[in-house]
Amino acid sequence: MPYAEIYCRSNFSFLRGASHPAELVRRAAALGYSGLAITDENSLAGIVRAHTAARTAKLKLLIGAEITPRNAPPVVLLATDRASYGRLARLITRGRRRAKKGNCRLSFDDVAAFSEGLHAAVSPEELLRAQKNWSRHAVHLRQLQRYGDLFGSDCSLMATLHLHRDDRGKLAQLQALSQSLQLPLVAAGDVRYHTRRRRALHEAVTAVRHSTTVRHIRQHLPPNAEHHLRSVATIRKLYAAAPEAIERTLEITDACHFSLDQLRYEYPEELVPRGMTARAHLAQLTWQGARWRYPAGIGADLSQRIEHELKLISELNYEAYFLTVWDLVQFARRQGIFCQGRGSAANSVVCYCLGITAIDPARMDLLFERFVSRERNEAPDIDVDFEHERREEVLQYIYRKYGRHRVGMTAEVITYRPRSAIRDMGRSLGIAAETIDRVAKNAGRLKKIDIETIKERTGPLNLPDPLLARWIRLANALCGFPRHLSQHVGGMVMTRGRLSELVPIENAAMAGRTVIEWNKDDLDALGILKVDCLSLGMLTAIRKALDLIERHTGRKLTLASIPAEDAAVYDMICRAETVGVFQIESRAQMSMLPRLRPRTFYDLVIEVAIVRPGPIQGDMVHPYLRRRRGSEPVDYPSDEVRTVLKKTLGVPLFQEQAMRLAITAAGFTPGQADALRRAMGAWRTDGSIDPFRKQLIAGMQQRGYSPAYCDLLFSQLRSFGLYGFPESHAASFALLVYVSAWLKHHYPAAFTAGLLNSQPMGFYAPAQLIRSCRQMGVVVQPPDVNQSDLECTLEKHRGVLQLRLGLRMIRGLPRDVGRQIVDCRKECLYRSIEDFTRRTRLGRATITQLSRADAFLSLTLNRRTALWSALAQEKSRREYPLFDHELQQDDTCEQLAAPTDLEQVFTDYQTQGLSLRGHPLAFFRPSLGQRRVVCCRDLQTHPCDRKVAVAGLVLHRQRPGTASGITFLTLEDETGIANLIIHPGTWERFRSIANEAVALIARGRLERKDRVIHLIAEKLEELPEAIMSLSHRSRDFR
Amino acid sequence: MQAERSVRRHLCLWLPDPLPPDEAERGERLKAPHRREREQKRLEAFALWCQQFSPCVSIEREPGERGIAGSTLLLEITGLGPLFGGEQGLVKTLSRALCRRHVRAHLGLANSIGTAWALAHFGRYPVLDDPPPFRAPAIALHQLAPGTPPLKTLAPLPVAALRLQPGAIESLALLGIHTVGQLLALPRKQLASRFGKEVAQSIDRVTGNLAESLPILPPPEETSAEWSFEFPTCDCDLVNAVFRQLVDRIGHTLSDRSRIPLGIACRLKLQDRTEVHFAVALYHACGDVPHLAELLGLRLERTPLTAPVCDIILTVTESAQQEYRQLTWFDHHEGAHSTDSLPTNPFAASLERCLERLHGRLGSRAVAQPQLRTDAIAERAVRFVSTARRSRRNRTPAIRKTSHSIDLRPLWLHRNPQRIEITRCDRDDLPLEFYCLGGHHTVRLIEGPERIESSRHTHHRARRVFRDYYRVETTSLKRFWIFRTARDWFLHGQFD
Repeated sequence: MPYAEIYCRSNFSFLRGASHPAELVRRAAALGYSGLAITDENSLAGIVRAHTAARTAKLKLLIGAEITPRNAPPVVLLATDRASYGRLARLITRGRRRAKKGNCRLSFDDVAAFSEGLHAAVSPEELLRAQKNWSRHAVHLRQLQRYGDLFGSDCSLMATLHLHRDDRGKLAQLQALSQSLQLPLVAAGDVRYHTRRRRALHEAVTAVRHSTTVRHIRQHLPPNAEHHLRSVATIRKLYAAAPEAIERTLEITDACHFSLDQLRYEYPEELVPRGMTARAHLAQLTWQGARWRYPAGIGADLSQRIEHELKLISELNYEAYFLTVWDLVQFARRQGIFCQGRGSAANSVVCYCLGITAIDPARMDLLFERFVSRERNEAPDIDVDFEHERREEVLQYIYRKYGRHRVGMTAEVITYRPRSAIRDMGRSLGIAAETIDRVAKNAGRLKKIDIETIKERTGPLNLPDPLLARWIRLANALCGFPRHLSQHVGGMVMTRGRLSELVPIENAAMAGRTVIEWNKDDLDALGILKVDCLSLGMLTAIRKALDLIERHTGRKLTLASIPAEDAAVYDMICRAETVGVFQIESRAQMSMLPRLRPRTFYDLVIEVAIVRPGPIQGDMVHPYLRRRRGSEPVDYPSDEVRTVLKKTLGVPLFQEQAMRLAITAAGFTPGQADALRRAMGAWRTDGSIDPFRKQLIAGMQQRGYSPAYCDLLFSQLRSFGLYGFPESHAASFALLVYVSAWLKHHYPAAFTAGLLNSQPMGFYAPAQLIRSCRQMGVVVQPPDVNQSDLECTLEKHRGVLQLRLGLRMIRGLPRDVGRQIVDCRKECLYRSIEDFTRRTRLGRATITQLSRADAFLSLTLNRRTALWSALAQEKSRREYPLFDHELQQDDTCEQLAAPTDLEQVFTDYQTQGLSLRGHPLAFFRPSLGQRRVVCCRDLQTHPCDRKVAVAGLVLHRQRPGTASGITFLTLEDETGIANLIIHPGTWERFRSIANEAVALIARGRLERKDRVIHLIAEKLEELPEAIMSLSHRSRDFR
Repeated sequence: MQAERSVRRHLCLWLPDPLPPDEAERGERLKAPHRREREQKRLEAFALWCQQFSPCVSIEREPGERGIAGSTLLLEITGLGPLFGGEQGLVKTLSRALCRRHVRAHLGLANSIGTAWALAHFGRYPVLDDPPPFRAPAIALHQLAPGTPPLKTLAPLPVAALRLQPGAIESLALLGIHTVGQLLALPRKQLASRFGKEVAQSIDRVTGNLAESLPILPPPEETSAEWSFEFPTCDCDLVNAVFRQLVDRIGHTLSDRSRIPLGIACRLKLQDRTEVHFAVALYHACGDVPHLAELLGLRLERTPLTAPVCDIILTVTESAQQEYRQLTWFDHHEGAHSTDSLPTNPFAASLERCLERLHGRLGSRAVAQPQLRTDAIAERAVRFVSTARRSRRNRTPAIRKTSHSIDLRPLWLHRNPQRIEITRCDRDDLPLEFYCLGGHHTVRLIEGPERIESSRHTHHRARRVFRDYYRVETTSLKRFWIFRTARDWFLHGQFD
């Protein structure tokens, strides 16, 4: 007799289940179960993963959840059909929307309101525990009866047997109870993990949930590991006295015929005007847009292309999706919010005509099938970037337009990483906090926590080896487990009907946001469309810069009207003077620029795409550069290949080129080529590219290509798995690269102000942005209570635009305080600190903060005298209206010595993170000179391959995944920057300094290639204590 | 004629390290709040110890307060110099005593508390010339001779020497004011408007212009009673009789303070000039004189005496508040009220009396009590704990309620399960006949299995356990608790 498990929790019952949904499904299938229900607590978050695994394992999956009402026993609810599934999702939504994020508040009445069509299985455990307490027993009995009355014949009484003291007696009791309640008995495993080996992990996460240790939680834990998926034979033996309980599981399985495959996604309808179809409306808008985009006329090829796209969109029923995105973009444009489509959507002429994207795919010869194809069987994905400071307006527009019941943000499943896993498991084992801290910090970026590496890094730990081994084993097992749900960066789902009938919705941590329980992979698996409303800091920066230019020069510019192909801009780019420029400001990009030397827009497209793991690991970068320089001939094995690879000198750099090669050189259909493209993205994890190898090589050999070329091409294509770029995406980004570079070159003050006013963003901190700006000859003025706005602005001084830093640059100053300062000086400037205090009504703490930041310089007060005056102000301002007109002078104190230059610079760094007066390293130059440390600038002329030492503040640490453990570190001193390369051995030897120091001395060998200079660090040293205590933080990246 | 201000002398002790724990405390692992409490108690005890050098000892700062490590005591030593051969003699005596206790300290000696404090914490004078008598932590002395203007001496010291709040110190640092001298150069009036009265008052305290007093630690009240024999005696009966009298006397003394004894230390001075010490401790404060005297007598029985007893001194080491309880519904007669702090449960009272006697007779480490633990594995579910360190706070009841019924557990448990031989079994490998405890048994009824499996979280300390337990009733109506492992069967308990 087979068996189906109806009561099983996965690890999406956070910290209550100890197995992934897929593990449970595979195990159940291996044991020969007829079906499995994943019944997580008040959640359907893991159900899609289970569904995907069940499809592969050919196991029937029952969809359900364990609902825990406040005033009734827990009940397992299983969906029998689509309608009841919708009710279950709505029930969970109701409970979650009432409570804070992560919680659920339901009552029996809520269950009753959504009970139709659901099958219920109730647990009598509380009743059995209350046997000796008559009144509690009566209460529980009544509650069970209520469930019976509510669900009628669709209700069962769960019998969970786990080889405890008296299973036989318990079963007899349950049979009697079943008789008296008229509820059939059903066998249930109360499964918490898929194999008994996971018991230890389950105990540990239970301890985490109770914020205690496993030692103290023992009394709450079962005495054995029977809460796993057991063999059918074992279950039959357990329920030998009640075979009807096993039979009941099969009855329930047969009654539940709902599958997630039945979910049909329906797009909102209201975007289409009355009397029109979605298709017609889309076509109308597209042709209107085409006339706008191509004022010179729409040629036959273009016309054909538009028709082709519209037809395909219509066939696949995606019109509403395009209209939705168009509507969002229109809203943004009406509000003056900069936005731009990116990603594969830029392959579409329809998107271009609708104004969603800014790249003309016809001119760029981009491939539409990269975006949409018949064979793909996958929803298109249009990502739109909005200004990051104003994206919330767009999101709230969506909520307003469609209503909260039809809109939700996509979830992001936050999983345990090595550090968090080590911390939680360490706490559960009762290990000392200090030890946990040490190990967690040294786990660093280990993919798998290795006990030997940990011992090496941390030194002696004062822990017995078996305990350490257990800790690490548990932590490794916990890695990848879901910890909680968060919200995706911008994915939004909108539906025609209630979204809560498709998937439960819950409150996000942020006010005004609601999130569905599924992430983007879940949505893709079910074919549910989403729109990605992303944010991009550079769009904000560009808009702010353009606003400043218009305000101060009268020149009105837009993204589209920026003059194209300015040679001077490309000159600047070739010199790698690109601090602050979008995408090409990183160290790797700046190293590439003097070598690649972009001179056209398409060169920028290549520049954006080439500095990526794909081309680097695929050994495409050097061949491209050699061919570009002319030191290697460009040859093509055939005309077809030439057509595809001409733009990149015979070297495949883009996903679209891979697809085109497969089509033209190996005879793939566009759909097959897209499948190859997706396999390229997945090859690292599941080797799904290998089947294509045969087909590709066979096709190419049929067309006369040599085996050597076939192998070379295939290995190049494999590397695309490491995020080779879509050409369309690179082109979208290249547009912003050019615009930002143009602004930097022609309006450096406005551009820098735009960047500063859009922080945090970008690769560099404000200090470096300002430094770069000053190097271009811009005068930068410090923040001042009488001169500055809240934001950084421009000032005209003798006809030249200067940059005035805003009050926002002062660390810790609230924005509303900054606004208040600006508002209160509208009538006249502040004349003294006392005058300032009286008019702004700000308290002593704020004035002290401003004094420390030297913001009273216009009152001819240095920061100490200003602070002296500030301290004399009252702690919290009182009203003295009678004395308002009297101007009080500030107390001065001649005994106060003026701060030294060193103190000034250090305090500047403390209060603003930068100094216009000087650089901290400059004060230590004499002592550094004695230690034979040179300036960063001197590296330009230092002999190559010779030992040298350089010192500076650490600006960045970067360890890309493709760098084989090498860390790239950037130092800055008063003369410039130095790029260090630190090999893994050196990093380990000087780990503490390398990882944590604010500033350091690096000694090593100088390397120079193609005007790019690196120091291969061999030794790292600390600097004097004074500079180590400088308030500075590096920006570190992977 | 202006009256001269009298010169007071203050000695400040800065103890930068935590005080070392005493013997009894070593090895204890305490949580943070308990640790802090223990450190405070240690500091108090240390301050009381310092009273041998000055009757006026104050705790100025508890461990870690105001962001400075360690703690600070103040001793007023005005006029005490002659008792120790001068001020320097007092300092030397104190230093030696500190060294013997392995306590590191910085001493500051001056006319005002403020100056003494500043010198102790920030003084830059060299360490004492006299080397310590043995390898011990250093004692540094920083002193200001009488008549020396304090501000001039303190000028180079950091502003923290004035005992300012951290906020004021930080603000002064931002103004570039780091030393006392720099601070004194600032206009005093303007200081007040910026920092309040605090800074000015700190300066005045240092100069002595502002009086400062700190609460003095009161000396401990010691309750003791003594008896000196006219003729030294070895007669135990006589000694016991004296014990009763002395305990009675102590009881009366304490009763005046509404207290009753919890612990009594006994010191016997013998004829050969040696001394014998022992102590008795009680679970509940008890005013029962015969019982207390009996405990002392029982203890004396175990104590070998090398010579006749000359003197007996009994001292109360711990006492408790007296409680009044009405013993009867109607309090018409005497004795209706009890002044004992006995537990209301008469069984518990008798048990504790019994334990006290056992401790007395056998020694406290010889008495152990079973303690239940939460462990499904039967032999690990109980452990025996010495009752020696039981305290009022840590007392646990002898029997703890469990949520499981006990009728499915055997009455008798074998500490170590015994292997049994199965002579016949059924097709499920369950026993039909087996041999154990010297007899052959035929199974009439068998119930189970109940699976008990140890968790991996306990494996590292003990072997792994994976057992299926069965309750077996035999044809001779005996009931056994047996279990099966991978290979064998074992007997673990009996229900009869």
